[in-house]
Amino acid sequence: MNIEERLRADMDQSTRDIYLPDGLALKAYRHSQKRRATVRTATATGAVTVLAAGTIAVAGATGAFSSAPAKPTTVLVSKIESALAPASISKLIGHTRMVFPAGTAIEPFPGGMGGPHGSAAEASRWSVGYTVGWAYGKYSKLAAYSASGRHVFDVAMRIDNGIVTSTAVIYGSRTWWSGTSAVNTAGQSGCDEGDNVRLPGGSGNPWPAFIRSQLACGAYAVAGHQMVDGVDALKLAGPYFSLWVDPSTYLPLELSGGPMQWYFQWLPATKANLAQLNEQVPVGFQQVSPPARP
Amino acid sequence: MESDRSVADLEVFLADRGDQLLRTAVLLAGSREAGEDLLQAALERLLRHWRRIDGNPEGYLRRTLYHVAADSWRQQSARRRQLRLFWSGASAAVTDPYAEVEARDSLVRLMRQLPPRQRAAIVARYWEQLSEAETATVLGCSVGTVKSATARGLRRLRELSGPSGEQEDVAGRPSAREQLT
Repeated sequence: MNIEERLRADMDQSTRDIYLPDGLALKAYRHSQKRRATVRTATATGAVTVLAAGTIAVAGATGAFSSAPAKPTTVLVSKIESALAPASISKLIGHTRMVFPAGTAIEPFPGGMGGPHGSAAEASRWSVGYTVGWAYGKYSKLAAYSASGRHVFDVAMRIDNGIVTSTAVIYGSRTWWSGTSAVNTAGQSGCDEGDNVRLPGGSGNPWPAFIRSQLACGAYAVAGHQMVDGVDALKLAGPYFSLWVDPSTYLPLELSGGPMQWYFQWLPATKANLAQLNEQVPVGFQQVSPPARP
Repeated sequence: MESDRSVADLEVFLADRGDQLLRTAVLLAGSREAGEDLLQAALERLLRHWRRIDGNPEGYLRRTLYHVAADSWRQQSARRRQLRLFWSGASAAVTDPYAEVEARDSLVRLMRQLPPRQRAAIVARYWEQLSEAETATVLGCSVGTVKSATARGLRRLRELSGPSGEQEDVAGRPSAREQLT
């Protein structure tokens, strides 16, 4: 072995067990901030993007609306304002599992997901039983599986200046596409009065503003306590969705509406968790044009 | 909000490329701790120029890593020169013969004894497997400088690693004049 080969082997050997520690970017950021002559307040608004940026139009998403809830108290809104302080949530990764009723078919398109194009036979290849999502800052990724666990598709999104860049990998056809669209904010603001299904969306953690606004306008109200995943959760009832929140953070633990269920976890931004947001196109997959928005 | 987005972007990028960049930093700096410090320093520079960086930040971060490494070597070298004024003769007394033997086992350890540019050229060429032109871009020097720094670095490593290292590559043995440089 000559010296160049020995060198490569030694460098490989000596760095084999070296992995980046968690939080180095944040450490660098904090240190660079200290160096600035003018200290700026880190406004840590929004760190967690909604499950899938933009709108999520899901087949079978209509259902009976519950009766109008009572008005929330000012005390409760104030308490939630405090619990949802930006610093307490800005560095959490939103991990979600959404469960859909049998017969649900979803196709990704640039900026969101919706009912699939084409015939019933065509739609059957988009049959989805559940999805697993990760969201952080302006990044989100969602993996969709059939009820039997077959990987149907992944879609990763990134929001920059009101533009969503989506990359989807379709496992059945061994294809992938990438496309952009404007952020669709329809149905993401205003008071949910039962005329439209409203969920938070867009970049940043949308839940604080959503919960605050819906409580303030009276669309959601406290409807008691229930145990969710070992937490004595506060139940907030709205005209379509019921939301269970952790009383210590007021971040959602579970969301239920009609036949759909969302389960949330709020995880630290470790390297392993952040890596879930990177979408890798498998070798051999063919690039195709993105589908039109339905 | 802009700053938060920067950190989030960086965290996602590092989740993908961070391990490899840290390994490069460790090889450039000579130890795990120094490597983490070096990468953090490069990240701080990256964050300061974040808005001006278009597209993948890896190229910028990699160049910064090498430049920061060179800066810190220069600073350390200056400090060492100052310390020698106060501690002349002390270094000979603390030489550990067993440590010397152990050092022969790893060329990576011997790389710590190379001058900054030679070490950087060797890391770029043999660890990152960059071409001479790519290495020149990363180091901010000419291709000719990369060639000479690499050749001298390898030659020095052969010398430091003992007779066996020299015998294995007779063709690359330095001339008497080159040994003096």
